Amino acid sequence: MLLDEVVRLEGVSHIHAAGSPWARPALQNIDLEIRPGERVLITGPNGCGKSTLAWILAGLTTPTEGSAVRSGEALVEQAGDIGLLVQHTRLQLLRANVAAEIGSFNMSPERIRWAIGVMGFPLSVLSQPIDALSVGQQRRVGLALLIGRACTLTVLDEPMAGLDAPSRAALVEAVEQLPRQTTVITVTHDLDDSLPLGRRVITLDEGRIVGDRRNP
Amino acid sequence: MISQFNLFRYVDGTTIVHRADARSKVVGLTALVFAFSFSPSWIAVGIIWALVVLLFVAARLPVSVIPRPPRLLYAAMVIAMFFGILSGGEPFVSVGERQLGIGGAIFQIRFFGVTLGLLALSLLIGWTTKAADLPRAAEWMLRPLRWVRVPIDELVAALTIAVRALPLVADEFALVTTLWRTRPKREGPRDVRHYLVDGMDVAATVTAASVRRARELGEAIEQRGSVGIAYQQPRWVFADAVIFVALVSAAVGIVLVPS
Repeated sequence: MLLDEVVRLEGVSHIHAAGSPWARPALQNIDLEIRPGERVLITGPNGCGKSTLAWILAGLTTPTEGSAVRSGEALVEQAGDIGLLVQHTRLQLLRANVAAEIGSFNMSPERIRWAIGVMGFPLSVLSQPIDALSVGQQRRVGLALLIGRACTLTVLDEPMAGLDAPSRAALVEAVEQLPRQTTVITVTHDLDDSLPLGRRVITLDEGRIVGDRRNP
Repeated sequence: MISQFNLFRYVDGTTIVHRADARSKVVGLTALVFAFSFSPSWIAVGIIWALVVLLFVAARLPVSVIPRPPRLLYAAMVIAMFFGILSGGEPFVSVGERQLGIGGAIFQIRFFGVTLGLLALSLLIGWTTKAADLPRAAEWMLRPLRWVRVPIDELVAALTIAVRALPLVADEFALVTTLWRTRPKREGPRDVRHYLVDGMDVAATVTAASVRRARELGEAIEQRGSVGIAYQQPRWVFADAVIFVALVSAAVGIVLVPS
């Protein structure tokens, strides 16, 4: 086990718009350790701080208090090496078509073909404009990118939202294609749909961890 | 970048500025904009900024609401000043043996003074007025145009969408720029073309997301049957008179006081 790749959050608290009249506490005193290769589900009601935690784990938000590190280095310093799939995947796919988007991630043509194939797309999808794809297809393109990049830490923020049953099944299958050593953290408000994505379930409520159990 | 301006984010309060209805604020601000277009003088700059300070203090807003303008804005101002200096014009100053016309630069500073002042006033109105009240105020202000068959209901519906969508678009813009950090850095040296292509891709993504959001909001408004709604206007209160008099007096002052 690569112990130095453990994700550690110690005393993490976060306040959105801290110091302004719109300040809103999101997380309070979170202590968390996630080992390499773990498949973790983070769940809880709306507004409990799930997405804030996802963004801290993805290295996109610096917590207002506490530390969030992996390999002894702050997660915010590793944002470019952490895979992230957000609910509104369209906001992540910035290039005009699928080929240009995937091409900007420095993958070999073989790797691209493999990732596209794993996600169940024909190669012709590469010439498709991003906006010609459905929400579910855009999310699968996002997943193809994650698979192709082979990041050792991947964060999925509400990956099942707005997907129909076949797309959800395809997504679960795609996540299973990620290498065993890849740590996958899935943030979801709908635990039933996401259960196949993780064995450890962490429950948040009002910004605090109120449950940490193994999925039977 | 846009989200840093805290657009239409209401700050709770019970001050006279908060109690005044959106109608008096919107009419007053419109009067100021018209006054400035008639008389873009240094007097106008002074009056507008005095009003900004007065209303800020009266609204008892915390200093923390004041946005930190993005560096891009400073860069744009520097570029504009550069072209202002290039354009020359009276008065002239001596730089070594050469005469340099700084009229264009002075005009540019005056322009910044007023536009930033009007922006500050708009933000002040946004911080002290609930966003939902603005379309109602606009409907009241535009009502006379019904006589000349201007489609007021549609205009107000479009304004409602714009007011509700703007903070969301700002958030999406912030989201896209943050998500940009998850992308690998471009290898090799970057030139202006790379920055332009990246900028256009970000703009196209935010536009696509905004169009989608506007369509959803429009459909929601249509399903509720809100286009053509008969707004219930609240009664005028003393606070309205104070705010209206302050803003309209400032507008009259800008036009009448010789520059």
